[in-house]
Amino acid sequence: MKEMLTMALRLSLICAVAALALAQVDGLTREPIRQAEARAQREAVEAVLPSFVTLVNDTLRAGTEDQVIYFKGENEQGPVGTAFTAVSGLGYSGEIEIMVGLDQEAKVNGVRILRHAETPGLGANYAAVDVLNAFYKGRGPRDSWQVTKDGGQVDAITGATVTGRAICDAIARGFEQWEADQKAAGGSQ
Amino acid sequence: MSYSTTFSRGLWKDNPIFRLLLGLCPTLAVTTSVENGLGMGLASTFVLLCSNFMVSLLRDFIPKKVRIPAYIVVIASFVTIVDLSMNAYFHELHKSLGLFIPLIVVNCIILGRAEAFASRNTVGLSIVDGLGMGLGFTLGLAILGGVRELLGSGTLLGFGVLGEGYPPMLVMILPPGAFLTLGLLLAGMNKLEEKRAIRAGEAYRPPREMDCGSCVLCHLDENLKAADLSPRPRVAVNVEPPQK
Repeated sequence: MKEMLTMALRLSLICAVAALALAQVDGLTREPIRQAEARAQREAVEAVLPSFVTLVNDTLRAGTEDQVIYFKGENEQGPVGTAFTAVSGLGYSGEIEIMVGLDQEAKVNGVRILRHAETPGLGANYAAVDVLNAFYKGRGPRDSWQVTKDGGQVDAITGATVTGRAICDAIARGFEQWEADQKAAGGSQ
Repeated sequence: MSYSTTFSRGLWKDNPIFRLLLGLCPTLAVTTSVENGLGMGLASTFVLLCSNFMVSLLRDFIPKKVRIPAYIVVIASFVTIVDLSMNAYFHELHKSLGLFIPLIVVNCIILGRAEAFASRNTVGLSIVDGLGMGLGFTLGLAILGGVRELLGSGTLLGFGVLGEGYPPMLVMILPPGAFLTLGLLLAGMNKLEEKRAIRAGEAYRPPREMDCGSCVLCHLDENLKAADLSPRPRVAVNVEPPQK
């Protein structure tokens, strides 16, 4: 009986000390993690928008499931474009999340892949900036967002059509959402 | 046992990957590049060092019967610390290693060294053992990552080495490449060891830890008996074969 008590007490003590230490570390790293995430997000926005001076974050439906953040870049002459994230579940392995930047004519200015699990050497090749620019830059919401294999006009990397299809799907969804939100915002003004 | 032999054992003679074949899950999974291998190796080294230190420090405090849960709590705490700190200060690397950082908890090298070494040796020796084993693991991961990155992407540490004209051998950075590389490296190392043994006029034996006889897990029962902590008397299971 005494042995049981010792065992329970000592194990509890070890756990308690571990919990205290972890609480401390969590408190210390929470702010740096938030900053690192914000920095990564800012870098992605900078990569897809024309050069801007200030960035305004416009969060719609905050806290709900379909929360969207629109990053609006501005310079001395006025607004230069809007960026937003979009997700597609059609990837070859799992979801693909991208950041899309639009210029003032609602044409794609740049795309950056934020999260993917595509095959290295095939689907993962889409992450290259020149590939993304060659395929998607300059296309607007009214343009075809289907890959050539499905009868559309967007090119895809040979052997990695599925990933290309998923990126198109994400961009098309992003456009749809963005246009709906534009309309809603215009209607309320 | 001296400090220098304890340290150098981890690097070659008892190298966790090439000699003990421990921790193969992260080994095979993350070594698609040198950078990933080094990151994973150094994170594991940190955890190994800290857990060896704590386990050795607490070796008289931790009751024998609950030692495994106690070790796991210690190891998991350090892994969480590494996970949070890497997320805060090495955000990109943390993203590319992903799930494998939390999985350091179940890396058998760490629990293995806690059980086989740190719980029986002084704090100083345990720290040296953790450092040696950790760096040996890092070395193994870096070599594996180097071979796979060189052949699979034509680069080393992200720099183009083999030039534009080199067609990357995709299979090397896909999962089968990990098995191929590790198998060939192991065969090569065994050959070297065999040659060395023949030159020295000894009979070649595979590393002691690869034999069944020295694995602790099969002897848990005997350990308990030796410490007179056996939970219940053993019951004879196979009394007599059934008669036909």
